[in-house]
Formats: sequence, structure tokens, C-alpha cells
Amino acid sequence: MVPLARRYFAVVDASHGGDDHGETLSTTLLEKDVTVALARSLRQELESRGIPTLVLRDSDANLSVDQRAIFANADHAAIYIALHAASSGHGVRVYTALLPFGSDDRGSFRSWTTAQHASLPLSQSAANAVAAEMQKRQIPVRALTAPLRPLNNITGAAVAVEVAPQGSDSSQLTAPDYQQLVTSAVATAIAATRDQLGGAQ
Amino acid sequence: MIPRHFAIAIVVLLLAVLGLSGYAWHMRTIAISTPVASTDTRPLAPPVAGPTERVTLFVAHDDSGTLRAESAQIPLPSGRQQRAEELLRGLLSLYLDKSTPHALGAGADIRSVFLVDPGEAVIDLNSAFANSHRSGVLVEELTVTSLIHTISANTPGILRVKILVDGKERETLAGHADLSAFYDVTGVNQLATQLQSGP
Repeated sequence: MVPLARRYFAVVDASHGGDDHGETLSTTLLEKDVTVALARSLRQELESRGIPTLVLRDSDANLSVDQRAIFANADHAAIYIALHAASSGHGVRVYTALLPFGSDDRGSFRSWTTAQHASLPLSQSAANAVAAEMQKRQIPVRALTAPLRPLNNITGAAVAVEVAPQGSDSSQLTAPDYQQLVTSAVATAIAATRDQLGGAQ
Repeated sequence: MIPRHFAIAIVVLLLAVLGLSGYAWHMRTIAISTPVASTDTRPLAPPVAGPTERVTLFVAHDDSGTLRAESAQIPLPSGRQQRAEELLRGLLSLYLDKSTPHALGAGADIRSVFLVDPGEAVIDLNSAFANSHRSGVLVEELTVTSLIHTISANTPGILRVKILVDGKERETLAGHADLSAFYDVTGVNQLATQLQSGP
């Protein structure tokens, strides 16, 4: 098999942006702004571990979920990581795709809605590694599936990380220390599973 | 010279035009002064009376981020489709209560449930349900899983579920949970098991 041209090992996606604010976390804080900060922090953590990383949204731009999936798939990234922020709950939730019903592949053509199907075991391995790393750092964590686009449209490993404050104060989401605690755990887990993720075509 | 009867007809017509204009002006004033409710929050269907049945509802709890099986006694009609609708309305009444574990916005309701053979269910929510729903991956998936797992656990044979809002397809519930495709009940049941286990 001819190796695929891969410019970036990881694609980090700051979810929402532009007209899509995501959750209004407080009167002055929008989810789309927190996800950009988390994405920049995660890129720094990944690149410091020698992992070439593309941040899909590094400004307040409008990007559809289809465009996000197309960018990630076209780059043949080993892993796609979507970042979300939430005011409810505590700690971190790591999600893999909950695939919708049906839509069979046709020969070498993959169904767009279930493109993730073949890579789901790899995604779950990555999600479990991230969750284990969070636990090591005493961050409350859960690993779940979710009906969250574009996870189901990604052809490689794909996870989403939803970051909530550890207590009830949403302002912790903007604290650089907390952001780094979370993103360094994600980066360490991705670096630890690099061979497994990188070996998949 | 205009004939006399012609002049009389013109005068009568002019008087009629003036009279109708005055009446139209009067009706317009009444219409403007009558207040119209911007959002009708009344339930879309009358409450069901009759014998009650014990059912299992899968209720979302925001404090723990979990789904819990709870037994409830609710009146259910005999028709399969009407039963499914009342089942979800029973679940919704918990979410609209003051002491709810998972708050939905005022006026949230199920417009209807359609059971289409083989194994397909369509849940049609009203716009108040989706427009006032809180945003977030977990909070939205708790709602979706609660609805689908409750209907599939109490209505045998459902394999896939589609959620509409006001009879139309919608991209997401409130920015996260995907509503564009059919939900696979097997996958949702596995997610329900994950959500019941808690953090």
C-alpha cells in the first residue's frame, strides 16, 4: 500500500465560531472563544512533543461541520480532536462517535454519515488513553459516545473533548493553568498512542 | 346633461364607499388594540383520562450527568402511537416540574409521535422545546437519550428514531446533538447504559 501524504499528525478543531457561539457560558464568556484558547494551548502541547498539528479554526471564522470533516479527511490526519467547553458538570468528557442508523458503504466509497465506522476502535483506544491520563492528573473524567458531528464523518481516529470547570465557577475555563492541565493530559495521551494511531491507514 | 337616475346611483355608491371605509378603519383600530400572545405555551393536546399503567421512564439528572430508570404511573390510551406520545408527555411533565432534575424551557412539548413500520419512530418536538434547550454536548445528549430510550424500552420493535422540530428536519438540538440523521436504537441503548453508570 502506498503511504498517504500526511502533513499533520493531529488536527485540532476549535468547535463553533463566527455566528455559531456554542454555549453561552456566562454573560461575558462564549464557548467559541474558550475552544480557540484550548485549541492553541493543545497545539503548543502537541508540538512540544514533536507532533505536527493543524488548528482548524484559529480565528472567529464560520466553518460548517462538513468543511471541518473535509479538511481533516483531506489531510489524512492520524487523529482529529474536537474541543468543546461547557458550564454544566465537572471536569472533562471524552467522546467518540455515536453512529447514526444505516447508510452502507458502496464498494470503495464510504458513506458520509458513517465514515467513522472503520476507525471507531482506534478512536475508542485514543479516548480511553485520554481518559486514563486525566485520571492520573486527578481531573474528573468520563468516556462516552455522542451524536456529535463531525465525529461520524471523519475517516481516521476522532475524539471530542468537552471541558467543564472542576467546580461551579465557569471562569475557570479561561484560566491558563486549568487549560494547560487539560491540554497537556490530552497531548500526553496522544503522544503515548502515537505508534498505534500513526500505523493506521 | 347627466340623467337624474345616473347621478343618484353615483351618490349612493359614494356613500357606500365612505361607509365601508369607516367600517374598515373601525375594525383596524380594534385589531391593533387587541393584545396577541407572542408564544402560546398551552399544551397541544388535551390530557388523557382513563386507566393508568406502570411504565419505566429514563430520566436525565443534570447534577450527576446520568440517566436513571424511574417507575411512573401514567394514563395511557390503547393505540400504540397514542401510547408512545403520552409516554413521552409523561416524561416531559417531570422535566417541566419546578423540582425537575433536568430543566426544559417553558412550553416545551411533544407535537406528535409517528410509528412507521417496520421499526421506525418519528418524534416531532415543538419549537419551544428546541429553541429554549440549554446548549452543551452532555446536556443535549441526556435529553435525546432520555426520549429515545424511554420510547424504545416501552414500545417493542423500534429500531430507528428520527427527531423533528415543528415537523421539519433540524441540524442540532441546541448546537451539539445531531438531529439530521436517524438514531440507531441499539447504539442509543448502549449510550443509555453508559449514562446510567455515572461518572
